[in-house]
Amino acid sequence: MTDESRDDRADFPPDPDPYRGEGEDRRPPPAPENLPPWEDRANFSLIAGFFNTIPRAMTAPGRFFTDHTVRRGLWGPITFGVLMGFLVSLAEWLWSRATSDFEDTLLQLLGEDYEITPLEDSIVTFIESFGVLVSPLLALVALFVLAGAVHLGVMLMSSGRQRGFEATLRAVAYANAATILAVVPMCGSLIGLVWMLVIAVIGVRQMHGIGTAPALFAVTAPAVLCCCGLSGATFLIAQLAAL
Amino acid sequence: MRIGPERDPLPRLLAFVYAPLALAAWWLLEHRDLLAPDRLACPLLKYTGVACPTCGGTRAGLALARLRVSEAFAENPLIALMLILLGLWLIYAVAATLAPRLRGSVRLAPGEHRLLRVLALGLVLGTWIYEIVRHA
Repeated sequence: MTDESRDDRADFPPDPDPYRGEGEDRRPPPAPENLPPWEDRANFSLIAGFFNTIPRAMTAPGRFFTDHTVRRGLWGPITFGVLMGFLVSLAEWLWSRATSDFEDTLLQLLGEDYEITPLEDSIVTFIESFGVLVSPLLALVALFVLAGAVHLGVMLMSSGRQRGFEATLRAVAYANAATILAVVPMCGSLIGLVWMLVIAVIGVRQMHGIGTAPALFAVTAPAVLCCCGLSGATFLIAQLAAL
Repeated sequence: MRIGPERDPLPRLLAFVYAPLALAAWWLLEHRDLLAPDRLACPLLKYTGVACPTCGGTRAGLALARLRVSEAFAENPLIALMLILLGLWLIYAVAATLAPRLRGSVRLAPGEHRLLRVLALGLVLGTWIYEIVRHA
């Protein structure tokens, strides 16, 4: 043992290791890797892996994230998150095309007298035309921004026992599986968003081995702190109140 | 608190992901007039009269980008402090990548973690009270 590590032991007790006793290594054999199907090329093809990951992450997130392998790199979760972002964008674009007349009618019923400026009109046209094409880039940016914000909360709440940024990124990326509900028109995106938050909380809890309350704080605090989140919710409430 | 050898290079390398995002955000802030600012007024403040803890964050970011530090803290101390810490992290990441001897990881004792948590909560609540009073 070096002087450096002896100092660490005095001030910063190492993580407890229940399997190691005095003078012997009673550590059980390493558990088999719990790989998501998306990254398990030995047992799943690319497409089968993708479509098996979605129901597993959505219906049994606790089992999905238990003993989830970390330090395999960021490529797997990032590609999954970006692919989900593209598919969701595609679904939303198709639904907006199919229901644009209905949305106009709905806005009229709500008494909406919002006049779109030429600039806003051009932005909307650009998004409708190219939004699907740039959606992978936007999904990538959103994934890193969200994972970074959540990881700040994890670092604050985990007392130094967290498993690193990759674990948080994996929880957030695979929680994106729930956004597939965007294929359901009208309310699908909203339900998917709530479901995604639930999966992210469970994922952060399992991946970092922290309690449910700290995980809930870590996932929701960035959204609650975010002005857009609060004001967006208030805007919705105000719209409902105006009905 | 003590600084030991770097345990994981990922947090440092991530700075090179977030730096372009920060630049893009700064560019958007500088050109926000393109987005019809009167339509982007905060609905929470508009409809309830109550500011949220991040109220003034955009203006604080703009002030910092123009090196007006006191103005940034006057707009929103929480966001100003977070942006300064983000900037310091980016500087560290660049320096430590170029000079490996600068690489390190900060380790906090459990008591220090608790203190940090209390400080963070206090900062958020303090900023919120400040913003509410400022907009009252």
